[in-house]
Amino acid sequence: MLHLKNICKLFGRHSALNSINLKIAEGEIHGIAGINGSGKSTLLNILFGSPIIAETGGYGGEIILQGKSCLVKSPQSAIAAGFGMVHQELAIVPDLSVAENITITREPVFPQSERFFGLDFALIDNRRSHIKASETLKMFGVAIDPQHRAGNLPLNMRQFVEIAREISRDDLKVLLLDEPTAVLNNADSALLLQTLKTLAQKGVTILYVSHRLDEFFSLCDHLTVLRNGEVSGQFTRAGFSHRLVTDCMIGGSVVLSRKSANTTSKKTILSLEKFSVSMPGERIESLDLDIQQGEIVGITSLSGHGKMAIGPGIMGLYPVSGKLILKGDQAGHLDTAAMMSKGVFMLPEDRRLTGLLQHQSIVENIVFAARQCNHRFLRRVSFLPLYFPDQKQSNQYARECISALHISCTDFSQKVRELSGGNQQKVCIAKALAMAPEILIVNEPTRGIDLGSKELILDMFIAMNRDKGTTLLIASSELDELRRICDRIAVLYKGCLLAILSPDTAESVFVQAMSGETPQA
Amino acid sequence: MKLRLSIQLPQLIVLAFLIVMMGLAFHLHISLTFLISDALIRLVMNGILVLSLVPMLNAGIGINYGLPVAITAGLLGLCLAVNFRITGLLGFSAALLFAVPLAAIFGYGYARILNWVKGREEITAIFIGFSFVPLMNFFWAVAPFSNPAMLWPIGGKGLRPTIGLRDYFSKELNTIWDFHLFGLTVPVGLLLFFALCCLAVWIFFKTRTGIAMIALGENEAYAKLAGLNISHLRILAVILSTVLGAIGICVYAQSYGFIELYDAPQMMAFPAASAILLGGSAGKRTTLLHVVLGTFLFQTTYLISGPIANEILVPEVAEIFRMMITNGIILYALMHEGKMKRGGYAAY
Amino acid sequence: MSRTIRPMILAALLTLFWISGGFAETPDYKIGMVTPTLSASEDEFRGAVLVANKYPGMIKHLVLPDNYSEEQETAITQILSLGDDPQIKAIVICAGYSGILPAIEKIKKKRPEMIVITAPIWDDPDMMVKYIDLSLDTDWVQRGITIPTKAKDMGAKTFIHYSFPTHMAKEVLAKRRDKMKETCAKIGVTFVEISTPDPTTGGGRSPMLQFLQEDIPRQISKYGKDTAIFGTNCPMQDVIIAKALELKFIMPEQCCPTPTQGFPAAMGLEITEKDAGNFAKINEQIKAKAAATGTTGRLSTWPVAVGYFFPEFAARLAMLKLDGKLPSFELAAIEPVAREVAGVDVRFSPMKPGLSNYFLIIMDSIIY
Repeated sequence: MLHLKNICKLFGRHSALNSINLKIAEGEIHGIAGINGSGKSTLLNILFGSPIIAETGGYGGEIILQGKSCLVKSPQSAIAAGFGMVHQELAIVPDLSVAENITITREPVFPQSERFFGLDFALIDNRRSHIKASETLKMFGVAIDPQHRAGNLPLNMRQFVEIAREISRDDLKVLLLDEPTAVLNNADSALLLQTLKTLAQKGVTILYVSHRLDEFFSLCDHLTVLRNGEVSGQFTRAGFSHRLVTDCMIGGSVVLSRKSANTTSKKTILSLEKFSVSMPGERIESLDLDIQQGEIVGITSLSGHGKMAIGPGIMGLYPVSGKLILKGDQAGHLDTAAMMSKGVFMLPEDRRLTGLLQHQSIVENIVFAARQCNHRFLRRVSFLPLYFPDQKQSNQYARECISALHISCTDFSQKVRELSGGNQQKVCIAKALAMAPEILIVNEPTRGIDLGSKELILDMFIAMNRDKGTTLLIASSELDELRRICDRIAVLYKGCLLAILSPDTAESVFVQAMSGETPQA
Repeated sequence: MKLRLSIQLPQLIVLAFLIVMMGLAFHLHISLTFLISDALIRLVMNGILVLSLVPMLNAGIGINYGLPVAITAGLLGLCLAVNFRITGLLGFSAALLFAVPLAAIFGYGYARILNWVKGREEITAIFIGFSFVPLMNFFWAVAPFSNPAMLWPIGGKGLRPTIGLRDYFSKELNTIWDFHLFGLTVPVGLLLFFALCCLAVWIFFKTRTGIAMIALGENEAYAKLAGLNISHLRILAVILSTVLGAIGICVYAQSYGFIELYDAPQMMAFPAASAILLGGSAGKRTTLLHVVLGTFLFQTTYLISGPIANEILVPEVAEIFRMMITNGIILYALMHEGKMKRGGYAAY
Repeated sequence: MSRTIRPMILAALLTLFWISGGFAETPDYKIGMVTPTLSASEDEFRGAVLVANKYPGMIKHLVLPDNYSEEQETAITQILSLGDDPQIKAIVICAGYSGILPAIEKIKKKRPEMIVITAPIWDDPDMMVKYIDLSLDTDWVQRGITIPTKAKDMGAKTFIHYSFPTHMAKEVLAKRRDKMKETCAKIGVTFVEISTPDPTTGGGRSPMLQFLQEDIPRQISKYGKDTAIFGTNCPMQDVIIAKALELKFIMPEQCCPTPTQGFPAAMGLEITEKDAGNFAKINEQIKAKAAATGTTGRLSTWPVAVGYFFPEFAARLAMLKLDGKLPSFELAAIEPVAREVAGVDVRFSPMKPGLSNYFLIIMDSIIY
């Protein structure tokens, strides 16, 4: 039904996709796997006519839908051809109601008004719009009031609204999903997968992109693995195997990182008492937590339940209340500069927007914070009270970091924005190393990073902890990784500490804890 | 830093326009030596005012449309020097000496307001400029200056709209170490002064604080996470801009030969802003190359299109052409900036 | 902010003048005087203040809003209020604005005996002669003949006219330019017209002034120093006169002929508070400076600011008329008054042939 013939895409001289051939039958759920930068998103962008494709010179090859060759130039033409897409970044209008979001551009109107004013100015029939919306939402089995303002919904519900918008289309032939479960918890994911199956039975073809291999195994009829813009393997349901697929994705096998012995001393370095952070969307209420010197503490929760707020709260980026005792001293007003001078450093989850100076070189990024806060990499002109950067020392340090962390780049003067996500994260870690903090707080260190780099980054954390005695606080939704490197894992629920579990605890207990069930001791 | 020539299409268009004009001027026997000498003087006269935009631009506060605030500080310095009848180079230095602390004070207040309205600095600055000028008009009309050479000739009280510097320090800087070469006047002192100002700015942006300011301009969230005191840095940037602006107007006034008071500062931010945009600064870090290139191109198109237009008897057409080209390029620069910015900033 | 404060303070000061004047022994009538604010036009404002000081208690000085064009309603109400004061027997309006006539029309309908003198206002001349007892104005177009003639007498071989498109779109200024061209051709002077950057667009006036600074030396090196330079815009005069001191060319007259325009700034005249407004003293100073810079015989203007002369002249006429010492506003009757007030000869000509209450004036020049 959908046939892709020799799809190619060049970004400048770099080939993102190279002669992709795919045949997908009607009603088939086809998975697409691959590490970051393998071309998954580019493929979906081509099919949905994203402007970025046209702006960078279009694509090569042919898309044949139901035997007809169709040229996808823009989202409009893609929609007209019968494609629908659920984006990785949520694309809903927060100020409209759920029903309005679902029926947007296809609003039922009063027929009389349409006759008089034309479709563009016809009056919207809100009652029918609500009925249509709630019918679609019923397919998921989730209860959302269609009159609710979409912006007020929690993240996972917003994702459902977005999916509902696409599947409520009568003319939908191919549904493209780009990591739809990234913001959903297990229960919600299961609901979604069930809905997709029903949809496929109705004859809709589904192209499914995800990082979670398990989902492919339970959902997909066929799986295509991309690597470096080429098809590196195709599997049918019968031939799925975790091992085969991952090898195919990274072109070799990975050794998983794991923390060895417990090096924790019994000295409390940081303790939080009745600590509350009012970060919008990620509140923390009255948290009590003691952190020992030299341990790695994992913090996990579902999104919106507060795991991301601890770091920014400690650094004083959001209003906080309660007590924070650092190395025995109670900190008064929390302030980023003061915390950094006391040896606390944070790497934010959003590398692109807050973690890096995208337009500056690798070396500038690595030494920036150390220069500003620790007075490292500087030299003073003898007769002036001015400090100038010591470029030689900085370059030397950057060179060391690049080789130690295997940052792939041309040299230390390359602009950070030209690096891939994994290498950018490594630059962030190099930045933290230059600060030589006593406590390092990291938010989502491996989000959006390919498998190989992930392990390297986790190794770095373990090495920092082992060699320098750095205390680490890692907030992540990747439970599997936390369990491998942490000494203890705190589970938050609705902004409160629900339990502190040992990494050896069974996964099912973690999942229960994250959804609010206190585990039996 | 490696010097990378950032001349791009828009600058090339203006450059081409200039070269065509130069050719025409040569063809029409308009003295090129006159033009070149004037171009050098104009570059410095306006160059420091344009340079004064750099700290605020690089700190991410945007174009300093509140330049009238800086200019007023400079004018006050100049008036004080004239009032005390200090003449010659000493008079000019005295004007700078009076102007700089005043500019720092004005700049501090101005910065506090800009910190208050974070995110809408440019439009606020325009209105600060527009409301500051009438306020100062009142001041000029009642200020207790006593040198009769500055007072209204009929009323005998308050300052005249233009005060002549002929007997004080007009063209002092223009004539230090200037030499004549084939009929060409090279104002070495003036150029050196400009170079010195540029050097000071360049050095500042090489220091730890300067680097921090650039990082703040590029990514405020990042700067915050690196423990920088953002509001202090912003205040510092505004004060620097204001002080440079005050120095700029002093240089401008001594070269022009008059102190212009009352409504004169009101529109002065716009040619400076146009020059820096023309230089190609939109949407990225502003370098001294942008300043020099932009001022040179903007002022020289003005300089050269006038005489040529009068010579070929189509003054209106040439004026329209000049405005179309310069304003068109500025529009292009802003559109380019808009394209770069799309996507926006979120987070902290 | 200052836009509102300034007129308020002035109004308060003027009320004070008026109240204190009430105690003095003076004739039983008052004259209402209307001028723009100090910042909008110094000459008229100071002229009215001078009259008020000269005749304490007899003058009620009204100041029009600073932004006249936007607050015309306020201006009209202000002027009408003068008509409601029975003590006021004459109104003198010195404000180069248009749109004031309706106010005069209303006052005249209510009190036909009220004497109204405008010097000047710019409304429809045919309507003005119907309602206004005496209209006075500078003879802008006639200056197109007098200026080049004077320049030739001062030794000019070339006459340069600096202006810009918006000015040349104004009828009076364009007409004067045409007259200058005509006259130059007649008397054998080369006429050169040069267009400067327009100060009403974009960058304000500095590009225009900058252009003048650069262009004048160019033109003088081309045409020699026996060149007369005339600019149509007030801020230009500072630069033109300053350059004249330097390059010794001829400056026959400014756009608004008065010793107080251009000369003080360009020459750095030191006018003490005592001498302020004393035109004889100011002229003396200019003469001395001209001699010192070697430009004697190269600079000229009218000895008194027209804007400063008009308020006093008009007020004198109104007083004489009210005192019964002036039978009518005939030419023969007003000419001696003008000479007395200005100190030089003033030539009057009717606005249109046959009109007997709308005169345009040209003053005799002073050559420094």
